[in-house]
Formats: sequence, structure tokens, C-alpha cells
Amino acid sequence: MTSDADLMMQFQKGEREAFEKLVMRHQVGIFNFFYRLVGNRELAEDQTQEVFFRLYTHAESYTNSAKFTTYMYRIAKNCWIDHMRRVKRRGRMQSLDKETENGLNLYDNLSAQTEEPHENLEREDKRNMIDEALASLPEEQRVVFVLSEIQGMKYAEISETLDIPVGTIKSRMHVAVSRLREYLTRHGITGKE
Amino acid sequence: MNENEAMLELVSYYKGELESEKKALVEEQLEKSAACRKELEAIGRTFDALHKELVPIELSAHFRMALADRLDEATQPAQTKGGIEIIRSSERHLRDMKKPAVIRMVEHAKRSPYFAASLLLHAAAVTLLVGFYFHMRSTQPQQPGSNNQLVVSNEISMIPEDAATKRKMDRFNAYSFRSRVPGFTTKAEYAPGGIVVNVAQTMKEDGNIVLDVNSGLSCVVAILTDGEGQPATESILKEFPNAVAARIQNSRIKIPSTVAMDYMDATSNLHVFDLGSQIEIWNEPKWTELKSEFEKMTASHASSSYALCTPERFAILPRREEEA
Repeated sequence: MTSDADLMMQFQKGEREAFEKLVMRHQVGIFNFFYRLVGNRELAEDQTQEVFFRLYTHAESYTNSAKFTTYMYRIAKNCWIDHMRRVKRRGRMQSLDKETENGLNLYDNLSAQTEEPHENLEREDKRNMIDEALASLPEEQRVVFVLSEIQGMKYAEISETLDIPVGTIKSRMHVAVSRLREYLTRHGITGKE
Repeated sequence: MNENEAMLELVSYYKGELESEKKALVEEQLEKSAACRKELEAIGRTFDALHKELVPIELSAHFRMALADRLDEATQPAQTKGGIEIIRSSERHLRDMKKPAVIRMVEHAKRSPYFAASLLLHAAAVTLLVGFYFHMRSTQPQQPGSNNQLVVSNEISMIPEDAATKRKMDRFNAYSFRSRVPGFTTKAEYAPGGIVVNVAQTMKEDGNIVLDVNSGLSCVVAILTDGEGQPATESILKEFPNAVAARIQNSRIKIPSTVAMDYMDATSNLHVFDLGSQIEIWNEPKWTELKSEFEKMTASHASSSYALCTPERFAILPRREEEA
């Protein structure tokens, strides 16, 4: 499989198909990154679109020296910062509460059909609780947690993406996991210790 | 490492993020301390629960289309990276060079007639290129005044050899028009999958609706409404079985290709009505004959007016199937 960096290089040479492959490869990841940050599908899609738009229009600034995902998530982080600035300028804070949608994908919905109704509800409740638990984290911890757990990034990559030391990533992850654990235990999701 | 220090490292340990030395110290503590082992188990349970429930969410079906539209509008990506990189690296290189090296180069030019001639030729070529660029720029026709990003994009994309960009600009010109209603400007352009109407200045971002209705005599192509769009959509969808609803995305409304191709004939005019709370786009081949009838129909709307795209402009571009 062609690497992301190679696809980006091909795109720099004018091959739009290469860019489309990159979008196909990373759209769900970027979308989930934003979705887990804001809990709002529409806003997450807008931000995802913005990331790919910037990637497209600033393609020439990419050099093979950085890992592509690091480069892309750095753009995502900047998009997020810009968005937050705009929101603050308009004087209204974005609610971090999740919107009332089940957030299930097609596969989940299909597989959920085989479950009993009460199992469905229970599962949805659990997911809602986990979304709430995530939303309850301070933004700086949530970003680190999402990059690590949802995007599967190593601490070194997160450090490069967010431009903060690895030690800070470690401590943010530690606090984030402690808070999540406390929340989940309180709501009976992880069981008694 | 004591027990408390080890506790702080357990999340990193669990995730395999510790360097070997620290890892060994944590493992040493884990052997000694039951509290540490319990803590590690609890961390494991937390991650298990999170991984089980944090499933990836899929994007909506509209996402790809909206992104494709937006990218279509964007300027072309860098295609001559080599050139830019050469300039950048030259700058860097020159910055790094010390003065004696420059002097050495001049001395070298003095010594070598070939090197000196090469330098002169390069300087002449650069001067010619710069002159040519400014000449081309001064003779290039100006786009109509607008602060729309598309206009800027077109200026950038006037690179003769860039066929894709030229095609895009042709599209823009072909379907670009301005309403005669004061303070209201809209643009329609050809895009993969249909005709796109920009509505940023007149419509709300969300909740607007496009309907395309082939209603026989008065061939209404699209009715765009704002706040009251939903009830109107439902009633019209009931009345006209062939009607299709579409959505506003990024301040643009896309009229689906099936409609654009079937009902928006390339040789006919496109009329935009601003009817106060709603905008209507009409595509009527027999506009001239039916003009008075249309005017009667829209007489009750104080702000009604229309704008049109000339048949010649519509004829510039091939249809999508031909293009493919």
C-alpha cells in the first residue's frame, strides 16, 4: 500500500486521485477525533472538512520530514483552536454536551438489531455515559486522551502534534484516566474495585 | 522508585509508553506492592470499558459531496514544488553563506568567462520573465468586482497550461450571474453532480431546502425557502411525485445533476427571483413568451425581480456526460 507521505507527494505533483485516497484513508479518524472532542456530529464534520480543505490548499508546505498523521493532526489542532477563537469572539461558548443522537454507525445499527431491546438501551446508555465522561474532562486532557485512545497515537507523536513535552502528555493521560475511571466506577460501568 | 512514583507511571506502563529502564523499575514495584497491582488491574478495566464502547462513528453521506464541492472551489494545489523549493533552499543557502564565499564567487566569475556569461544569461532570463509576467498581468481582463473567494481563485488559476483550472474558470464564467435585486448577489456554477448556487449572503446556513419540480407549463426547477421551508417541502413533495429535496451545505445549494441535466436545458435561461422570504430559481425555455404570466404570478411579492444567464454562456460547457 502506498504510504501517506507518498500519496501527499503525488498530490503535490498534481494527482488529485492521491488526495482522494488520503481523504478515504483518514476521514473517519479525523471525524472521530473532532466528534470525541465536541460530541456534535455536524460541527465535527465541518471541522473535518476544514482539515482536508487546508491540507488541499496548503499541500506544498508538506515535507516528508514529518510523519503525515502528525502533520495532519497538527492541522486539525489548529482548526480546532481557530474554531474555539471564533466561538469565543462571538461571545457564546460551545456546549460540550453530546447532542441527542445515538452516534451508531451502520454496522452497529445492524448488529444491534440482533440484540434484545433492553440490551440495546443498556448499551446506548453506556455509550452516552462514556461520552459524558469524556466531555467532563478538561479540554487539554480530552485532546490528549482522544489522540492516544481514539487515534492510537504514541506519546511522542502526540507531543509533536500538540507541541508539548512527553512528560506533560504522560501526566495529562494519568489524570484523564483517573477521572474517567472514577466516573465509570461511580456509574457502575467498570464494576466495583 | 517508591510505590507512589510507580502509581503515577502505571497508565504509561499499561500503554507500553515507558522506556526500558523505567519499565523495569515499575515492574519491580509491581512485584512488591499489592496496591500497585490492584491499581494496574483497575486501569486495565477502565481501558477495556472505554475501548468496548468507543466505537468509530461513520461520517454522514453528505460529507464527501460537500468536501468535493469545496475542494473544487479551492485553488489548485502546488504543482511546481521543485521551483519553490529551489528558491527556498537558495535563500537558505545564501543566508548561510559567509561573505568571503560571495567574494570568491565574484572572483571566480572574473576568472572564468563561461561562468560570468552564464550569470549574465541567467540575469537576462529572469528580467525577461519578470517583464513578461507583469505584461501579462496588466493585459489580463478583470473579473467583476466581488469579495467572493471564487473571484480570487480565478485570478490565481489563470495559468495557461493548467487545463483543469481553465476548465473550472470556464465553468465559473459560464454560470456566473448577478441578480438585479439591490444588495443581493448570487452565483450559480457548474459542479460535478449538478449546479451549485451560492446563497451565503441571503440564506441561513441551516434548514434551507431546495426543491426541484417539473410542473409542466411553469417548469419550476428549484424553490429555495428559509425558515418555512420544511412544511413547504412536504406539501410540494406530496403534490409532485418527481420532486427531489436537497440541502444547503456551506452556504451553497446543490441542485442535483438529475435535475440540472434533465430540466435545466443548456440553451435556456436561468431566472432567479427574490421573493422576500424565499428565492426561486426558474428554468423556463419559453421565458420570453411566458414573461407576462410569470410577472403576474410574482406581482404580489414587492421585491420580486429576476436575473438571467445568457444562452451563450450556458452553451460554453459540455455536459457532464460528455466531459466524462
